Amino acid sequence: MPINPEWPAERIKFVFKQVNLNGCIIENKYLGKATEVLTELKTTYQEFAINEDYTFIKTNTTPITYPKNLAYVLFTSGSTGFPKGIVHCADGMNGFLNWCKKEFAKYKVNRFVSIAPLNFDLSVFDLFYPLITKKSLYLPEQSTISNTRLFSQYLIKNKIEAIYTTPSYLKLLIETGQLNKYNFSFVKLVLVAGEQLSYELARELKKYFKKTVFYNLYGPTETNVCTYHKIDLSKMRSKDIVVPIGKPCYAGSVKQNKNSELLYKGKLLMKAVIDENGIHVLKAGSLFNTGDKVKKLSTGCFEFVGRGDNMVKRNGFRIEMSEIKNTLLSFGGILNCEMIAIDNPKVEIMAFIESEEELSELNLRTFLLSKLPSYMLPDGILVMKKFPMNLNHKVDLQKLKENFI
Amino acid sequence: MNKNEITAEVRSFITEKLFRGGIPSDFTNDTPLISSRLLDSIVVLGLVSHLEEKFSVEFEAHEVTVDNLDTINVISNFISQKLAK
Repeated sequence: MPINPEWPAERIKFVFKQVNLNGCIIENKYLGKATEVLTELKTTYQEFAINEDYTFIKTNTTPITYPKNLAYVLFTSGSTGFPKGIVHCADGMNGFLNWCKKEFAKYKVNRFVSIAPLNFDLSVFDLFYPLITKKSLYLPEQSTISNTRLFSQYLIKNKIEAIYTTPSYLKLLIETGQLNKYNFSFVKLVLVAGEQLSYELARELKKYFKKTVFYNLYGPTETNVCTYHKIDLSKMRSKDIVVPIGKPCYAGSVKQNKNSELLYKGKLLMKAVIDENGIHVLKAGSLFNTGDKVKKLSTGCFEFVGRGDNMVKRNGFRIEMSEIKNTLLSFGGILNCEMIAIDNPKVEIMAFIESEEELSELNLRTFLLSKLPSYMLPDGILVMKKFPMNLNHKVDLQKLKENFI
Repeated sequence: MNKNEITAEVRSFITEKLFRGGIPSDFTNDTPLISSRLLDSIVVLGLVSHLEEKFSVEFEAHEVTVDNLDTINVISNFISQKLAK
């Protein structure tokens, strides 16, 4: 179970507690933060130095019982206001990796790079696919990933042949990575996931990655990748705007319900969920509603259209807006709070706060950062004395939205 | 470019990214940005690229750290030093 040490201590504490963590490997610079959390949880522990940078912490707790053959747990934003742990077992993970082998082995990639944070499910492919296929995996420092110019040079220097990342990162790479300075003809495969991919971005990428095969991969953390689409720019029509999410990729089926939401059934589905009440094991053969609205194309492929609820995706991370809202409401002095997301052209989240007090946006941000991971912070926070009301005496969201800019 | 101009440029980029509803009065040029996590990694990524382009400097990998980027004043000092080299 990867834990991002940059998360607020409170979130780390919640996660430790929910799984009764009995051991963890940690970078020494975060050791103080971890032991503080364990002390607060009244957990006794022992430290074992692994090398000069890392320590193994062993606690005396007994972990909660998981389904058999547990592979990994990823915590993501939860709609109830608490993070939610997604539990995957070995058969699902192996199924996914075997499908990858079947689909990607033909490109004969020898050098992979991992740039996604470990708590983001792209890392499951990054870490395990090169391992099972006996290929090399390159792990650049965060400072290299954070500077697209350095990352371009890193690709060149190490002749990286496959990259798996989000459209947001690829867009940044194009804008600031000085790609035109280099020749990337050695890059064989680019896998894109986590957000909607536009044909415009795909075409732009093709200018620099001329010999590269592009795939659009889709799936919520609950299924990891469950549909895929190999991008063929020569076949695209001028009216095509969004790259489809494609067809099911492994022993499983997808279909639409009457609300146009995509449903998944199959081996790739998580086996259990951990929430504030404990672990809930799913029934075998469960049908999973992704909550993602899709459109079925004449080619049989699905295209992502949007969502009907309060979950948004920004920079590949999913964010339950109600989790931000509930956190804001706990600040004190806030009468009401509304979250609005726009997608024009990039996803932005705005928090509107009704309060009679003079609240400082800086204080509100600092407060949110003490409770939530940075990726969940709203793009804007607007404090107003009174919310506009519509004729039905409800908060006029349309009017609030007009205040967005 | 003098130090004040550099500071003004850095401040305008950061406040524009951080605050939609106007700059809060308690936000200063010494407010921690990275150690406080006010700037997330995507914004930092954009910030470094913006600084490189705007001031025609290049960050080395080991320079993209909290020590050089944590506050508006720290960033401005770092850029001034790089420009003076």
